[in-house]
Amino acid sequence: MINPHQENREWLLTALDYLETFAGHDVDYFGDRNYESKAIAYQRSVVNDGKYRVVFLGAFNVGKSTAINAFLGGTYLPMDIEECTSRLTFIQKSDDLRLVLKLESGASSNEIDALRRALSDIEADIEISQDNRTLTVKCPDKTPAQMRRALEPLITVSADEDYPHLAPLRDKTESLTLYLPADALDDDIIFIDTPGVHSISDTRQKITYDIIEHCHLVVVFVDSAFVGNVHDLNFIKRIITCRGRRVFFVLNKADKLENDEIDPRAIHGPAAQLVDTFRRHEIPDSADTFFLSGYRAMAAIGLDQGQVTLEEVLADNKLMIPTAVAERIAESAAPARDLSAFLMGQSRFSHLMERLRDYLINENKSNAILSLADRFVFERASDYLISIRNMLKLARDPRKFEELRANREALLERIETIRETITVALQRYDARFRGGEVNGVTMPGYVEQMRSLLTETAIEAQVVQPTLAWLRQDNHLKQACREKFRPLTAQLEHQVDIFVSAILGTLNETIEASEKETAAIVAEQVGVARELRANLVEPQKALQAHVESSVSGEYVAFGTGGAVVGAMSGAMVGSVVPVVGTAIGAGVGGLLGAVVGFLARLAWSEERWIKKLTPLVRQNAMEMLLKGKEGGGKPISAMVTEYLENRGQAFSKAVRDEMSNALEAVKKECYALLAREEEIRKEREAVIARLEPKEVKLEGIRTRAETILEEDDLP
Amino acid sequence: MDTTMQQGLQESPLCAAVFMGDFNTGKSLLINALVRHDILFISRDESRTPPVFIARSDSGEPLYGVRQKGESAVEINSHEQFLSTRHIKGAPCDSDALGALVPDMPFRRLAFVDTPGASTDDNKPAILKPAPALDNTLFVLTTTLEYWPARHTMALIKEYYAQFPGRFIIAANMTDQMNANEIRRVRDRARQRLERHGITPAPPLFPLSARLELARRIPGDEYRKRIKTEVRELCDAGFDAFRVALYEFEANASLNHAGYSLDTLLMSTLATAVTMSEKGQDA
Repeated sequence: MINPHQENREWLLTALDYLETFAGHDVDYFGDRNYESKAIAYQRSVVNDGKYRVVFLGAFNVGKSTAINAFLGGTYLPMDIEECTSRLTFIQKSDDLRLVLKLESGASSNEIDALRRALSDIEADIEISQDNRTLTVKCPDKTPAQMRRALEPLITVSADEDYPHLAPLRDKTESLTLYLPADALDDDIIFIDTPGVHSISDTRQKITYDIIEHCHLVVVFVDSAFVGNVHDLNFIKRIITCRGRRVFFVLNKADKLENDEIDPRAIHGPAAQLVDTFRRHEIPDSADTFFLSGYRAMAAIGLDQGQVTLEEVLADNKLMIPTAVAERIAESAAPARDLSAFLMGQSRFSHLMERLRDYLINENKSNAILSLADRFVFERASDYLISIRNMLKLARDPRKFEELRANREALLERIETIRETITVALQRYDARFRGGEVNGVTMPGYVEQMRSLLTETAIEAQVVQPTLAWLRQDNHLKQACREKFRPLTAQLEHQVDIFVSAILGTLNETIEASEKETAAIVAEQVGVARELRANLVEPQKALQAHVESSVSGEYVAFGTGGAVVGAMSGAMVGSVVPVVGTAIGAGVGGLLGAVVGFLARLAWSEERWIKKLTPLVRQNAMEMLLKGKEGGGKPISAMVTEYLENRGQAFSKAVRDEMSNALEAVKKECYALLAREEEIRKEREAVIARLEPKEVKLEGIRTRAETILEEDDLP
Repeated sequence: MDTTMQQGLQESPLCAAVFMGDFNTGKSLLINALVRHDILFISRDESRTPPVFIARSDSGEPLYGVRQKGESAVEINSHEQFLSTRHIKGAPCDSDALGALVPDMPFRRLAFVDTPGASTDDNKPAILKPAPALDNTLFVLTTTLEYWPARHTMALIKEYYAQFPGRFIIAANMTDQMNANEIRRVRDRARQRLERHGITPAPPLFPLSARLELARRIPGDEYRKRIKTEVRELCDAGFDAFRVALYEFEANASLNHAGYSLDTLLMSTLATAVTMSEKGQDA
């Protein structure tokens, strides 16, 4: 009798074989060949070796390698205060200690020599397979320190600087596995250490993201002092959305926290914050949460094994040993033992270790592996089927070509309609911006509107008079005289500030309203274009797209449109504001100069002072706002005019660019499809004969994978 | 701002230092350490205060003010009220700015602005305001020595470096949580790293610890004792250098300048600060 489990496994292997060949070589595959075939090959190797993958994820420097070292009971993996791990490191149980590099192509003798030289001080023994594609590094002493030393030139970020001549070898390393006889590891488990997710390097970030879909258990590390920051959230969301994976959250560096903040029940402190963040971002939270100080655990292990001395540990600032504890240790009969016990206890490492081991023992690992692989096969097969089916449909029904061509032509026409609609909207925008008629109403234009607000009468009423009124109030005049008129200049400046702010506020309302209206039209139209594009493969839908999109009326499709408008407001703060500011500063400076001449005559009556000051205040306000000073730069009105013009032009340009980018993309794709369809039409029979077996095969794979998926538990 | 607030100032502020950065990097603690008073609320929770403006008061008493949304006047408040003005867990807050005047603040004419953390998603600038003080503003990015070269921080640095040439410095907080050799290495390599990313001349980066600095004047403080001497010295030296950089900025701000009203200074720096943190967030 066949074991159904074994049967499923073997079937998955053949299915993966087929998918890999298809994605890697088939002419009818149109996706990212390189990525897909690698991902499939890796998934097959997972089913093949049947090992359960536990991946450690988190920001760089958050202590993933340190925690793994603590699990392994020795510092095998390099650790550093700066971004450290640059490559995936696989860790597996074995009888002896060795490091195995699998290469994409054979290593040259130069590369092997370079590795020998880099590892000469530990007298590492390097074995090379016959095809030069597997290198095995063994260390004579078999200590964690030697292994760490061997890993340094291969997987660390600093290796790029410290071992530049090993770069070719590092680049062709496909995988790097550390085999070691640690008790903590079981035979059927692989730990994977990853580069930090916030790495500045795109490659390192991608390496990490790509491995997630192949892992069965994810251990996420978060710095317990920075729980819930947006940057971590982005990658947490990514993990959580990968279905069927168990997640452990480790709040590491708990040594930074006060004792009362450590509450694994998540009622208060960072754990509660994490739960709260999940709730706010609608992340389903079914994960276990642990506090950990991997660093303290490692120090305790080091002390126990005699790798580090008591003095070294006591001198280590990062362990944050409270002074009371340090004093107690100093008086202890067995200081090393006591300190190690303290650190291990405080690290809370045993909680995590026990829970993880417990979980791994109870988890049906082979089941988890097969079910992940099955899901993988199902998703891939469904994905590849879509384009095969579309091509077949076409080849089988010649009338479709005419229909399709008509459709494509209609679509190209629709693109032109979209372009016209946007152009009309932009003309309307221009009329609002420069002045003109909109829907039968004459709009003054931004600049004209500003002029109607920034008049001499308005300045008199809203700047000059309030400033004079302020002078009459309380003891302001006296105070101003006493303090070299600085309070007066500050007040004038304040009034100008309020006045200009109010005008800019009003203008901004107009501008925002017209930009918003234009952006909404553009958003809708570009949204239609995007939807047309999305439906290119299913042409019968294409013509309905417009209706659906305008019904939903969503802005979502106009992703970059929002950014355009956002960038506008950024530009406006950057460009105009400082200049207006300088003008206010300069204007007030002038007032001060003029008033200082009066200083000697403090005996003047209040009315006399006000009489003397009035023309000065008025003159300064007018110059500053409207007229400009002789040889003293532009008035604020001129600056605002310039700004309004720039803003109007920048908005128009941004919208035009956005429109032509979006529309050109759809057109290009449409032409490309037409060309391909033309080809299919010419060789219909041959195409059908070619595609049919592939459809049958992929459909068969998809159906069976689905059946397996539907059975709740694999046999 | 309100005249009562304004009267607390003998001299109007001349220039400002705006503190920006992710939440939890210790912006408020850093300002508390600089002004040597527990003025600002400190919490590990992501509690978002509206932007806070801090300047020297000569009245002998600290003054606290809160400005409600849509109003121009500032209400004078007790410190308790002032501290409780926060957004808590996404709940909105009625006020759009806070102000505090601090007696004996070691800076005579430099004012501080504490901005909401860069991970905040509300607090958009209400309307465009003129910004007379912008040229007299120093931008201080607060980050941690441990994580400073992260992708998102580097993006902020690039942005600020281009926007505020010569008026941008980096405070790398929480230096006390590392070992002395590590601090030296990270510090010494910072310039090289920045320059490798095309940020030349690199803005200065000060490794410091606000927590240690606050404890500096408390004799026999347990936390200071817990930190190893060498680390403590590095942190103290870093903080001193940081303070000197602020003093220098204050001294170099134009001497015959009349000063600004609190409102002007606050609003102008704020509009920029908030826009900038949004950009950082997008990156």
